[in-house]
Amino acid sequence: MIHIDRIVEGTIVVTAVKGRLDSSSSPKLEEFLAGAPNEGTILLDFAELTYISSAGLRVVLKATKLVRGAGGTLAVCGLVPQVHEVFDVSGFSSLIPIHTSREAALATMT
Amino acid sequence: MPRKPSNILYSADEKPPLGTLVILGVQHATLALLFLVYPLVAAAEAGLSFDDTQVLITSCIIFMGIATIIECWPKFGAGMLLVQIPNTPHLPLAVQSLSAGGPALYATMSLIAAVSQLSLTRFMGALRAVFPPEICGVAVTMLGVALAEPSLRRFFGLTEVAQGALDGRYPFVSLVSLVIIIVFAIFSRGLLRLFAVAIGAAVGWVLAAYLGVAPAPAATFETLRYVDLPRIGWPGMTLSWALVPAAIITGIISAVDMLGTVVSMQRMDDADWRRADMNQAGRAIRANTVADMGAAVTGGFASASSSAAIGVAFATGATAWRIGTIAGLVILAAAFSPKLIGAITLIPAPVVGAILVYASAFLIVAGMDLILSRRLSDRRIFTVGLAVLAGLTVAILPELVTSTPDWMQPVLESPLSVSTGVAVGLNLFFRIGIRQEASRTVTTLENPFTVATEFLEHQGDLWGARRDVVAAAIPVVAEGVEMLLDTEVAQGSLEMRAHFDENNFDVSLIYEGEPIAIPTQRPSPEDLLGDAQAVARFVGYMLSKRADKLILGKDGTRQKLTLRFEH
Repeated sequence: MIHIDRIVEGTIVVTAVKGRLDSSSSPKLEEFLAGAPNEGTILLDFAELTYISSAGLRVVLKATKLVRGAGGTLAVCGLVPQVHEVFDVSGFSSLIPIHTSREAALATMT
Repeated sequence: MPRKPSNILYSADEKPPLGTLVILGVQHATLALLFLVYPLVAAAEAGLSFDDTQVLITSCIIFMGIATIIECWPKFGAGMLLVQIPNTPHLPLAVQSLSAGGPALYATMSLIAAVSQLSLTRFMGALRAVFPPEICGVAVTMLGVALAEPSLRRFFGLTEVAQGALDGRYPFVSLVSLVIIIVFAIFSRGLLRLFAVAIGAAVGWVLAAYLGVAPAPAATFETLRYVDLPRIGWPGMTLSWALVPAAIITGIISAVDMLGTVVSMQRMDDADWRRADMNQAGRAIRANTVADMGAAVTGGFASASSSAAIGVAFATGATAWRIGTIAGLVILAAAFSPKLIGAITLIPAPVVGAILVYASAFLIVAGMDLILSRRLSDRRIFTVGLAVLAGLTVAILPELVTSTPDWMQPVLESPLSVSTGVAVGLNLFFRIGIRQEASRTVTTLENPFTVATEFLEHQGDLWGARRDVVAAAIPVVAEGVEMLLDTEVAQGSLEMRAHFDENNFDVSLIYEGEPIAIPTQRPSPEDLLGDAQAVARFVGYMLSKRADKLILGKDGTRQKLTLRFEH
């Protein structure tokens, strides 16, 4: 249902999430991101994320607060239209930097 | 106001510059007048005298012009570009009645056909359920298929009787004309595209003349006057009960034909087209029947809106109704010029073939697009597949048609009427056993997204709901279910109930528990980290923004949260 990859691109840690992020799968991402504050700059690549529920948004919000609390930054990239709509309606678009693609994000964040 | 598609330069209500308007109008009128060959065929088959033939043609032209003007006029007609041509479904009725009782009998039968057509417009609201998009799609596709035979015959220079080896000059002229039309329609912008058909026809005509396949003017052509008063008159009325069923059926076929052209034009003119506007179709059919009655009592051949004109509109990217008004005026003026009519009949057949092939190809694909605009269940696949096959059967096996009783032949001769009739019949038959409401229970042990996907896609298939509407509903419904069960606002389980009518796709979540509050202002994202009520409020707000409408109510003692998706 969900597949998570961790890729280090220079000083940025990319977490690529594939599948659906709902109440049953979001604990896995939450656990994965538990160590995020120590990693400085985090990029969540959602290019292959097809669905996100409020449970998924909650995990993203928690991770953002943790990273920022530790002085780091967190951004997301590659949102498909239906996930982008959720970010827009929920107000997350103004809370978290969103990049069109991983390449665009890496170019901006490095 | 419909959203204009990107490939349309002048949509229905737009006003092209006067020069453009005139040239486009003349282009449409010229093509429409080419179809006068149909009443000429009917007159020849029935052995009509020269005078009666003249009246049949002249009255037809006058009422083609009048009908075109009325249909295009937003105040009285459909407010869209519909150009009339002689009505081909009338051909069998005209031949039979003109042969059996002359112009007086055809006038009566034509009036009965018009009344039959007109009576259908009283039920346009009810007909909407009978003509969902995939059935309209079958009709539009078969309009294209029906055009294929006459267009390909002209394209290859074939006559009804085989005449040895193929004369390569005909397909060559056709191909050059067709390529020019396509190249200008697809690759050019601005003025050149508007005249794609005219340029293709002009080059084709010159080439046909050079290769010797353009018809030479008859000796009498020189004697025709440039301007003359049209001759029409009261043909009298006689009745033949044996032909009444054929007349009624001809009226119904004509209405279906009109519906197909109106839907094609609606679809072309609206990027967000969802369903047939049956009121607009009704106005077009009413205008058509009024003109047909006029033609009947003045000895003319009936007319109907042209599917070929839709191809021209697509090629030129111009669907403005004002173009139709100009075309109607030009057609009307042509009735006063025997010379002009004579000249139009000289346009080489392979050039006409190229224009019709273009229109046929467009209509076939436009119909397919309509058919696939909704989810196809097994029932719908067979409705569409068998209907198209039924139409093709009568198209490719004409001997089958001639082996049926005489009274059936007018219906069976038309692939359009056969396909549409079978599609409507199967659509109604396959509705048996399908309820418009379905429900299932969802528990905390199930995945909301998986349940919503399986349930809504299955119901969407059964009901023929649009794919994009079902796809948009699934994540929103899944979010609602997840929120209600995870926050324990709903205790342990809930009922997911879907309801469909042609206008809305509603999904209700019914549960035992407290109602949720839907804030009008967006809550802070921080609420997602709060208690169950805070999360429920946040998600409730999101649902209200992502569904077209969110309705809170009660179902007995249970709470009911309905998510509405406009269809």
